[in-house]
Amino acid sequence: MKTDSPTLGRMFKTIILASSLLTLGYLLAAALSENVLTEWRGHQRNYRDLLFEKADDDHSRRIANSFRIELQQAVLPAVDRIDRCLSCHLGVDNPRMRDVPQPYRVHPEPYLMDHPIGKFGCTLCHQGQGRAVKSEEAKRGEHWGQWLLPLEYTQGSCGVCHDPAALEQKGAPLLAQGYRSSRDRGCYSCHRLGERGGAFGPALDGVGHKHKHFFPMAHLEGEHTVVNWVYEHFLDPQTVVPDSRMKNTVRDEDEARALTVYMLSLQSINLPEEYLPADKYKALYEEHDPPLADGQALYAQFCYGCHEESVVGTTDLILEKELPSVRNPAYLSRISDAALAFIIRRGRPGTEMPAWNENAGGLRDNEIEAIVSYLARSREYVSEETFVASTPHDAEAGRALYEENCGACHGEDGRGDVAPNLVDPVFRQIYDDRLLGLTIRDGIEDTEMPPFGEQGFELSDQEITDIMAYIRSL
Amino acid sequence: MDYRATQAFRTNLVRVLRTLRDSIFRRGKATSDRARSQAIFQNFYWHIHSVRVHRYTLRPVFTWGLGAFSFAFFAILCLTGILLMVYYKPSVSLAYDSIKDLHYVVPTGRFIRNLHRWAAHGMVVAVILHMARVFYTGSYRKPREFNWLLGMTLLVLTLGLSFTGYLLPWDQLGYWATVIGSNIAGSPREVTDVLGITPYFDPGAVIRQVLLGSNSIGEEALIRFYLLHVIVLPLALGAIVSVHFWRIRKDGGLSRPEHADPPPPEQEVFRPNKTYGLMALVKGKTPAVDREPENTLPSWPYLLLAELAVLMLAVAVSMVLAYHFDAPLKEPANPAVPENPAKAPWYFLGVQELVSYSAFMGGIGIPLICLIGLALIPYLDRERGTTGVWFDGKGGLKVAAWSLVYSALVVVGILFVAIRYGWLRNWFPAIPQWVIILVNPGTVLVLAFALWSVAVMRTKNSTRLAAIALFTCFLVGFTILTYVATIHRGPNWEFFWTKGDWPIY
Repeated sequence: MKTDSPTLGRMFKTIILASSLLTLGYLLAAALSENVLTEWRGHQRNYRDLLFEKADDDHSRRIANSFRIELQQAVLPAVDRIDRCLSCHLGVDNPRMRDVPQPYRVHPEPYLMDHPIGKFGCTLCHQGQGRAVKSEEAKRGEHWGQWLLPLEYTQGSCGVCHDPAALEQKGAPLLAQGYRSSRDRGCYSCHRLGERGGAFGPALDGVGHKHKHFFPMAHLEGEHTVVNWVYEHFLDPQTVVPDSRMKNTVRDEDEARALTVYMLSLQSINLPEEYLPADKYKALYEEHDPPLADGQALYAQFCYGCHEESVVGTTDLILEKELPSVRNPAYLSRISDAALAFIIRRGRPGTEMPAWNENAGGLRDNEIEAIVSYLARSREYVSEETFVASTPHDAEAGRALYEENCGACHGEDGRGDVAPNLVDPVFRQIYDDRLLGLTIRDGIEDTEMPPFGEQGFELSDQEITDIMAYIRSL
Repeated sequence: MDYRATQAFRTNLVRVLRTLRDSIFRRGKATSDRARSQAIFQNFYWHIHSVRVHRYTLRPVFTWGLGAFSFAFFAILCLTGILLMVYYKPSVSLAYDSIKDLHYVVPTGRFIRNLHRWAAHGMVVAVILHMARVFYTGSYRKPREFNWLLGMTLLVLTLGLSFTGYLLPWDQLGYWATVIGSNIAGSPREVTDVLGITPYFDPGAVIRQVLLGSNSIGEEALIRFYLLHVIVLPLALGAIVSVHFWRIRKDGGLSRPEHADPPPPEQEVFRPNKTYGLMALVKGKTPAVDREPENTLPSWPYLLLAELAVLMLAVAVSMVLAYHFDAPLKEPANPAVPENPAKAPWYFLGVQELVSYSAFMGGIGIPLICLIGLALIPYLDRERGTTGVWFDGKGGLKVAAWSLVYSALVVVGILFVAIRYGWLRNWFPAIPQWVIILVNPGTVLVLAFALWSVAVMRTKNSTRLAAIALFTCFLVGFTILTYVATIHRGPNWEFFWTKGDWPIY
């Protein structure tokens, strides 16, 4: 390269000129695109035109005239939000904007009457990215967890503040239906919500506010959104999460949708007092000072998920085992209410049956008693039969008999297989000689437990006693 | 009445613009070399330059303006950084939202943040290339050894600046990159664990705690990183870069070979009483009278034009990139949801690749060896070669080319083995960790490079060529490792040809 001075000087000057022009151009472009040619300014100009178009008296013309194009936002420090949706959705609170296209249309009645934008903003109900001022990023920003809720799911947000049960007739029937389903379908047999529920599945607290990163999206067909995940997962848990132990219990797509709406309402947001409506206070109060416990409802809520009807034997496909038929008349005829309450309170350690006392599953004593009296309704008679254990007994002989007759279902070690566990401490405490002996000898009608005595496998009382001795030695 | 004062006032008022200009630019248009000289050395800002600059220095293909590019990017970073500080809030609960607001409602905030981001990348690239230029032209030689050391410090400061800035948006990207970084800082624990002295002496934990102010990354870490990023490191860099510039001047300007000037006349015509030394050359012998004028140009305007050209080019490049490519901002930082893969900033990915073999060696051992090796170059290679020529001419270019081939083969080979067949831990699961610390793909690479360099030193009988061989090897290693870690490493740091092959999450 020539390095004589005019050439060098010219080259440097050319570079300076070219890059300065480029810089100037891009500065101008950036200044324009970020400050003048923004999407929301365009919408505001259109809205101003609409204002003029709709103006039919002096007052409205004055309003149109005084309309200034500037960013609009609802600043809500109490709920840690700044919602700028209003920069484009300018007509939300203008009743004249009924028959205009979005984003200028007025918000449907009557929600804004009770929920002023200045207090509630937009994203508390609709989700989406409130700070964004570009419609694409406001609705579904690439790295934003809470995408704008599809309209049919917006009801879910009502449940963030309201008691879902109170909204049956008041604007959120789907939410109320989901709330009811979640209690009727025994969701809380496995899932904990607040201080109550089982521990078999993940807790549901805040599930409606969780980032989509918490949901395994790998096998989800369709959009990878939380809403879609929850909905599809209700319909077919094992397709969405292959090794899921979630029961497939929803009746139809409507119920799945209702349950999804309810899940979306579980947001665990700490709302300031002034945001809570009267119905919520009532619900909270009832939670702490409940009305008379309803055993049937409690059974549906906390037991049904696993035990289902439980009159005849219930095979749980997820656990691949026979669950105790707790409403079976033959079973109830022998066992006392106190024993049932004891089992519920303490659970069956070593099995999937958790303890339900106040420190564990969260049920109060009076609620457990209510459940027991609901179970007792299925008791048709009280068995007067007795079983007298023979003396002496021979646990060694019992072992052979156990392995031959019992081991296949209850496990060689007695810890349960397809049939219940026989060695957990609660079982040992409840099943005295009479109860255990009668169950082995006569079986439990309508369940997989056959009679091993005279009517069945013809074991003698001595042999049954030996088996019992062996079980107790395990 | 005498109205002279009023008249004078009126005249002065009319002339106020001109007199103001003359008071600032004291000499008017520089039409003579004398005036051009004065334009430089009577100006507070320009007088760091010599008044005349050698033609060789101005050849674009010699320096590519890389040092000036680095500084130009630094200037852009300072300016945009100050603007960002107006809106940024260094608090765990506010930081992310303040970046969102920058993006959405601060006038041109998005563009300014993008500029900052791209200028930061530009600075890292320019600094690394500048180092390579100085090395390959042998410009670290006496008397410029110390300036090379200052350059090393500036490299470390640049990387530190870039790294501390990564966390500030408080998003998943920065958070998890910082987790990686702070774990690397804590990696001496790997060694103390092997020695079994961690309960008594745990320097890894101490370093990590000093860096984070806590056991995990939270408010304390954010404030520390912020302080480092906007005060400590920029001031340190500014101070050292000043010395760096000053030393260029004091070390005789940019390096240039002997042959850049025609040979001195057989006999000096006369020995002048007064030399140009004070103005043009601080060091050096009495200049030959027939040499200076035709081989130097006045700094005003040539050197200043060159510098302005580089500055504007840096600005233009940053502008174009900033306009078309947004700086990333991922989800808000969430300690409960690790990014997978969690990757450090790109210039640390080579190190992260090594860390995946051994945390201590990859994160601290090998980088330290590299830094110490780089720092020692001017003291171990004292040959008086053809300073100021790329690769010292043909011989060096050949060595560099062969080193490139050799190191590329070695790096790809070892990566192939490690990725395809695993390493010692896969073959001998019970192997003690100290063996892995000593023998892992990273240390094997360093050894292979060192052996190659020693071989070159022996066969070519030259420390300079050995240095060229070693430097080339490390540059190639850095490049390939960075490339593999950037493009081909996916979730759980497993190898994937493309991002499309990643398992979906």
